[in-house]
Amino acid sequence: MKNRKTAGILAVAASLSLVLAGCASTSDTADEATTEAVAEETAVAEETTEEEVAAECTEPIIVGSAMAQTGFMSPFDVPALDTARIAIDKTNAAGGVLGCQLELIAVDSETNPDKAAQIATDLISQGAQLLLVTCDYDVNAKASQVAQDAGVLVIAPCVGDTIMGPDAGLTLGFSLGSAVPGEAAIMAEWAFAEFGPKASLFKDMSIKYTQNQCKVFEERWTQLGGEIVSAPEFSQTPEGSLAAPVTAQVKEIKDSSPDVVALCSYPGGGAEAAAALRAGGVETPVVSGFGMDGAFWLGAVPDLSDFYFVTYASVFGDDPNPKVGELLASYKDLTGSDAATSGLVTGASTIEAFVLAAEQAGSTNGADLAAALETFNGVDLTAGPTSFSPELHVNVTRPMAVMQIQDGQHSFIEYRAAEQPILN
Amino acid sequence: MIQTILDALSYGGLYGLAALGIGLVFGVMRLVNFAHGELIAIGAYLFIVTIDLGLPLSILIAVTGTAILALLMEFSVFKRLRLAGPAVLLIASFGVSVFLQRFYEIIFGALPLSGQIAPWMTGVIEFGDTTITRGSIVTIVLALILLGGMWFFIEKTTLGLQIRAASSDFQTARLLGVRSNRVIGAAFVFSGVLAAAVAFVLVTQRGSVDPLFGVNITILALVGTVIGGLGSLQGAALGGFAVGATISLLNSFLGNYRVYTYTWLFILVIIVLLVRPGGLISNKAVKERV
Repeated sequence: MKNRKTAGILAVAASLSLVLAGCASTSDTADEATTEAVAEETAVAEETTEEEVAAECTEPIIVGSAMAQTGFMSPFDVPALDTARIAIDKTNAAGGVLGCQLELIAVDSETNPDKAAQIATDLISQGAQLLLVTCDYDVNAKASQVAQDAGVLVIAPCVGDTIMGPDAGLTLGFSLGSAVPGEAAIMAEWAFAEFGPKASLFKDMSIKYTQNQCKVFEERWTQLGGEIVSAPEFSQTPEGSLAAPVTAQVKEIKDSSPDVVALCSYPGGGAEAAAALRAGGVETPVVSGFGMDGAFWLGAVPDLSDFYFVTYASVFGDDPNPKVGELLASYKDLTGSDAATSGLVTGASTIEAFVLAAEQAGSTNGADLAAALETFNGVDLTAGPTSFSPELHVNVTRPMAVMQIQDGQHSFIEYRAAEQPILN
Repeated sequence: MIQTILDALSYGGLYGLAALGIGLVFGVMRLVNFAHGELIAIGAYLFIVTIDLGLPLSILIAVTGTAILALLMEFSVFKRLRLAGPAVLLIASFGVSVFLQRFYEIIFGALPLSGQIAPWMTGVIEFGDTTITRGSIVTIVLALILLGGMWFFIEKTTLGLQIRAASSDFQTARLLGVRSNRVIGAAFVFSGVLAAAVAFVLVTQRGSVDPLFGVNITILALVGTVIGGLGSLQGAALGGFAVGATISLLNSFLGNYRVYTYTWLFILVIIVLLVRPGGLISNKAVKERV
């Protein structure tokens, strides 16, 4: 970019000097000759400028991906990576970034933190200027650190934990996800307004995301004046099924007669837990988060009703955001299938954010890009209005979709932002 | 309390079936088959994708399909490794396991497939303050029928006698005219049938199946076969039952310290093995080789 400006200035200077030289002449012939010379020089200068730009972009800007295409994170990573690909194609068709095309190099990290770190090292040695990592901080931490050490911007499209950023020492690390402090606060605020003051927590202790989800929900619920009447726990195996029966926990919830149950979990154990609630006679409304997005688990609880969850967007054809509809159509064209969950909007938004930050910074240097991203304040991306700050590299105030399931059918209720995100 | 006991019995029965499936194959060829989990997974996939044909036909397809895959494992991999040591067999079974997980991921996708194959097994029966889940009663009955059937087969039939003989001392059994390939093939088929039974119960409980569906229960069932006594079929069933029942009881009694269920389970496993290193019912032939 700097070269292009310099070339432009040189061209103008050359032209001006020749024009001035021409002005000094009184001969018409000389004037014509001078005019031709100016034209020639200008043309040469313009050619030089184009050549220099072309020279600058003989190697496109590499976007490296060490995301998981197989393993337990692949259901979250693969759709986000697919929409990142869609956004890259769209960006390239519109002329690229800083005059350069983007090129995606994706290597499957197999949900393996060590393999992801090796892939990150390799991609950065190939010149990657943006590294995409898997949507779970525990899995992406090593790869993110590799990028941080190399001064390369690293984005996990859909991490929902505020640790992705300065809290973990990642000044160059960001997530386009909506983090739990906002998501679970929305769950609490919406459920409190709809159902009343007594809540049960059904806490999945398997991963940090679900633990924090119930922690934030409880804090916001009690802030609002609500009461937690029971809070039984369960856990899932690493393969994603209930580690033990939840009969006793369901009975505890039933006996406490809550107005609403907050299910902090994810499928398959989360689906088993939801099924156990209904099978155990708990017909109380259930509210959950992004972890329970999608219809793929619904076969475990046919004709489920009074189930609500907070997520990025609706993938069921009724989202009011036209950008979401457009992205879902492109996703179907690319993959031939409907999106399983709405986390995919974060993949496209990752590229959108990178493009805007690069144009703002005029560079693809990691620190410059991070500084530009930290100025984002309600920037309109496919995932919704996006804000970052030097302290927080994940969104907690972005509106999220409140969805419902009635008789086994999903439908969109509203977009809603947390009135009071709970940040520790 | 009644539900706690029923949960323990049903979990114990389920893990007993899984451990017996592993123990059958270990008995005849000293193979710790890690790919047993993938037999359970294919059974579950077949149940889910064929349930629209009706439950009886779905059961027939799932049981037959799982048994065929078990035989395929034997013919395509393990039969070629007859002379290899237990370590080679173990690594080969790991390879088969990982291969099949990836294969399922390609065929069925990484996301779980979900569905209800036996809705009549879900729900509860209430007696006053006592709640009993239908699933636990059905699982106990199914486990009793299958364990009883396996006992009859192993104790009362010629093929069962040959399997017992091969489990006790494979070389001597061969010298006495037991046809090794037939016995091993039979062990794999029955292992597959038991895997399909476990798949039925699990997929009814979970309502979904994914490529790693059978991994956890297989690892715990292996622990059960070790506790029960490697090489002993009764020991495998007993050990599996003990592991399943213990998990269920710990889950009930630990309350909100349930996250430590597995910690306590493995402390108990270590204690059992320190007291009885050969397992609850040790097999003399295996002990001598060790």
